[in-house]
Amino acid sequence: MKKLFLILICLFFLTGCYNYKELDELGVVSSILIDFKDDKYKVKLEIYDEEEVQIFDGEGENITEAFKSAEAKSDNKFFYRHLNAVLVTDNVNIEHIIYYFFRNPETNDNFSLINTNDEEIYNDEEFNVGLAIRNDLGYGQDFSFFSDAKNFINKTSDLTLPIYKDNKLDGIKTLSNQNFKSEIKDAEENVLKILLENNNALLNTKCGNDYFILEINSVDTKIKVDNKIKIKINIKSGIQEFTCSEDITKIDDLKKLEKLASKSLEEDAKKLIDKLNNDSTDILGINTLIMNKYHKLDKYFNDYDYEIEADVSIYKKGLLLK
Amino acid sequence: MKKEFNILNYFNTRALFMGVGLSRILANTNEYSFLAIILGTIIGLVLLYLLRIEMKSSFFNTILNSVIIVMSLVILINMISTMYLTQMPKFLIGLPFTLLLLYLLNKDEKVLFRLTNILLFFNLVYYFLSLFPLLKYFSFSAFNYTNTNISNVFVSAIEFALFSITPTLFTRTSEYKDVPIYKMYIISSITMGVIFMLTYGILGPELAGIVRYPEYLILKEVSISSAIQNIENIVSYMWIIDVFMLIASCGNSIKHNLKNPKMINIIFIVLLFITSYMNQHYEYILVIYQFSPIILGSVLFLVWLCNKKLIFKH
Amino acid sequence: MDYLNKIQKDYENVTDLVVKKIKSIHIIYLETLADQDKINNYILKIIPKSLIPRDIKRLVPSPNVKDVTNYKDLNLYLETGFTIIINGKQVIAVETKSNLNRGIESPTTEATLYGPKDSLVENYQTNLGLIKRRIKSSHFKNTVCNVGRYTKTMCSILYIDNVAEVELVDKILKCLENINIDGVNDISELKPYLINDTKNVFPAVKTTERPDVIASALLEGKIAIIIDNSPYALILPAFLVDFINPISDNFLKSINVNFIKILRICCFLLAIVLPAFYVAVTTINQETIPTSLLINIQNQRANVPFPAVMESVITLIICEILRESDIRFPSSYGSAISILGALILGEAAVSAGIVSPIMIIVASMTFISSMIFTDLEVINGIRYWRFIFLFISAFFGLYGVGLSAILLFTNLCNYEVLGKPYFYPISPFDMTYLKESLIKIRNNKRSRLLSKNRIKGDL
Repeated sequence: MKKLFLILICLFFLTGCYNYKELDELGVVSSILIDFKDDKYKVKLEIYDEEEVQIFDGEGENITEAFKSAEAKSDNKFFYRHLNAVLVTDNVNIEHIIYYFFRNPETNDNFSLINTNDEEIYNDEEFNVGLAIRNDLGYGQDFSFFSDAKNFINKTSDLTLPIYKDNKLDGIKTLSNQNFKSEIKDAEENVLKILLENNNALLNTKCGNDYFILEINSVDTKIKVDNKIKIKINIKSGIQEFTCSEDITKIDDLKKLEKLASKSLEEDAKKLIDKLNNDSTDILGINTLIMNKYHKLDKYFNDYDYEIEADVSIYKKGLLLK
Repeated sequence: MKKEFNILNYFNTRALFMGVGLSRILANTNEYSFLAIILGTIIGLVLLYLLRIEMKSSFFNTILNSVIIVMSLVILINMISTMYLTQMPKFLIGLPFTLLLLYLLNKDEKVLFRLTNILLFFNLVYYFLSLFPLLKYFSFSAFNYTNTNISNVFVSAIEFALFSITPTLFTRTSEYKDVPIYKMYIISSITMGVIFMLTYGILGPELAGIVRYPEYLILKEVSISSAIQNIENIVSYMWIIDVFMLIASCGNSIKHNLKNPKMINIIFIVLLFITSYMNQHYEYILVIYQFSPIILGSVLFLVWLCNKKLIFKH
Repeated sequence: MDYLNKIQKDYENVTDLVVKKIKSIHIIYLETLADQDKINNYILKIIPKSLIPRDIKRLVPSPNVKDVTNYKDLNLYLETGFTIIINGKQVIAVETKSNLNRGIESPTTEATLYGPKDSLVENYQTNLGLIKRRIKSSHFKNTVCNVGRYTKTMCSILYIDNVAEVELVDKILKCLENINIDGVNDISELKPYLINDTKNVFPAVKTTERPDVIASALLEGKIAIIIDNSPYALILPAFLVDFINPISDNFLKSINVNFIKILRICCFLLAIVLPAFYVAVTTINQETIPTSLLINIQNQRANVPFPAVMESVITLIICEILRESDIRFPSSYGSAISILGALILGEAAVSAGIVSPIMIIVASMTFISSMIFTDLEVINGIRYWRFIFLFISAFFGLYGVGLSAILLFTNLCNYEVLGKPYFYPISPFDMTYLKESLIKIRNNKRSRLLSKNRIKGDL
């Protein structure tokens, strides 16, 4: 017992408080905006402050210096383990950012990496950008830093980042190697979601002048590499909105609608894939499949021809008979 | 005490994989790592069946066990310094750990054996607490083709066997030399294999190759619903328990052969200083990382050469 | 005549000694201890008017008559309420104890909703009777000895000879005989002589006032000690798990009880770890708390000038003071203290900015968790470890909490009670005893450690 107390007292006086940080001197960072301009990194940090947020900005020759200069302006220690989002502009070298956050164990790795070109996103002190993004994306792993970094480093597929604009998430930015390429928006984003087996997509199909919208309940996308690359999409969906003249109580008409939807999806997907191949971004991870099949990469994904086959089936049409 | 001895070897088998074995084997074998593990388990079983090391000289025994203690302590302290307490000097991280070990080692041997029961329970709780939330991140697409040389698999299998059986062989004191531990060895190999597969399945081939503590990195993903997140500091206690029990059993083996058991205090304090010196220079950690199988293998070979008591069972 | 003179000399200033001479018979008793009616019925009425026979023992109708062979015995009998009859060379002692006892009442410290409502009293015979009424077997034995130079308290070791280990009984008997003190007023004073465990903060001997607890412990193979003048009995060896679970569990449905039992283990750990966890999580490992909660706590702690460790120590010590004053004060004042304490802690301390509201929650959770245990010693032991955890975690955070948990378990594994491991059914692991202590499952075996007669079958 005496020994124990002796040890405790020794600990008390010898160790000091190295990692000790009181909560009230902690600045919990909600989101970070990183920009690269005139050979200088510019960062803006959004800190939780009761109901509101505080913004600190800093700049420096490298990322660490920029963070340090921002921290010097605040009397709090910044705490990065509750990060919600990191927003990067197109000018930034994404590789540096990813490796910076990976090397640094003082961050969590379930924040989202977001692309933005709007530098004035932090103009409202009562609006927490980080929290808004987190609530929009949810807590899933789809857009967490971890999976992004994994995709980036593993090179199994190219990276896509959500775009933040006008206080909301809008569209997806594609990257090829380390360069930002084109934006994918609205209808194209929908098709991309289907190709990536995301269930939150809608199918908008025209029938003449009218349209009908299918809500997708399950997607199954299969990609096969052969002489051509064959993409097979299987969709189960329910009718969300219907303005066409067809009578969906009849089996023939229902089949017709399904075919119509499949065909329009095939066309849209074809367009999207052409666009991606022009940008040479491999979002679907086709290079990996080629590598898996032939154990070498003689021809890249954009050297192949694509064949898309969609099979949309309607199995729900809501309360209405027609 | 036979049951407890088996449990102790459950920890001994797993502990050296933290920081060293796991990332090495994953980086070398990629998608064939499961083959390396299965082969390694079989080689380990054969070696366990054939080899009996009976340490006569207490000096020799102390040196051998100290090699393992220093290796695992350096890696553990480095891990805690990277993940838990980033600003604390490495010596101070090692200090309470060593004091705790000495507190345990100054007690009777049976206290160590009794402690295994409780720590096994906590170890398994942490193991399953991390296993189930992580299963949803596992993807088979990580097991895609990479340019892995198949000969790496055999090298890694031998490494696996070395990492898992050397502590067991060194820490086996004369009282327990005939206790069968094959079943426990297989069980702990299976739990280790699950961690290997999970790590590789979550990180994928290239990420698993570039991070120092892949087994810790995946724990960052553990979340129970959306409320409890970032509990890697709690769950990773699994590894600390493993290493703690490994060092405790090594220390017990040293103590067992010493004429004056109190000498263990001096030995451990010297070892603490050696580790904290090694921790000040990163090149030592790199040496441990790169040459640990060679160190373990050569130490085992040395023992085989010097020790005439190395007998074949029949 | 020799004895008579000696008594009169020894008891010179003892006012309650009565020496009565009827014919050639001397009747000696202490009137405070003896019952006048009994003396009248057993002795005075039977003394024949004519010739006094040489052997008077035959005439005495009392159920308990003893021959006295030496002065030491005589002294003991006299002091325990016997009446000494000296008839020529024959000296006998007749039991005429007066009933100085209160009636059997319901237990106060170990109250249960269901189950027997009787508790031990200060009378040794009554206590033994209460236990014997529950175990009707000739295998139920008791070995007696006296403890205390002046008090000469009767002390009895109870066991069932074909269940309990007899070596253990001998060991305890040896311990009791070697006790060299002036007097024993309560059975708790025997504890340090029975078990030499000055370093263990948790109790190793169970104190109980319920005869049913004693009976069930005896049936498990344990050993009980009762002494005269104490309404409590000791059960040993007792392990840590015995203190966590009260007897009342036996009277309820096992499915429901198991939930409570698991809850109790959690409470045991919670009562030790919670303040340490709070300090670790708010000062070193802030990433572990969910973000919204972190911001909440941060706002609450904004006005508190003290560091979190000091805040916890202050709150915990205030709580300890409150608890101590609550125990010491008579119960009629107790409620006033509680109200005062609750007001000070709950309202004033927070609004004065000394502690944060979340600390109040942590402290009260800690105390409520520790109040589950009926034994005061367990609560004290928990407190001891709570502060050790708190200090270590203040330096090393969650890493420190883990290390101190290993320290606690090492400490518990180290102790032994009469050669049995203190952390028994958990480590070394034994399913049979676990079924009777930590969880409740039907079990028809006795534990390996306590009894060699393992199957609960025929006698």
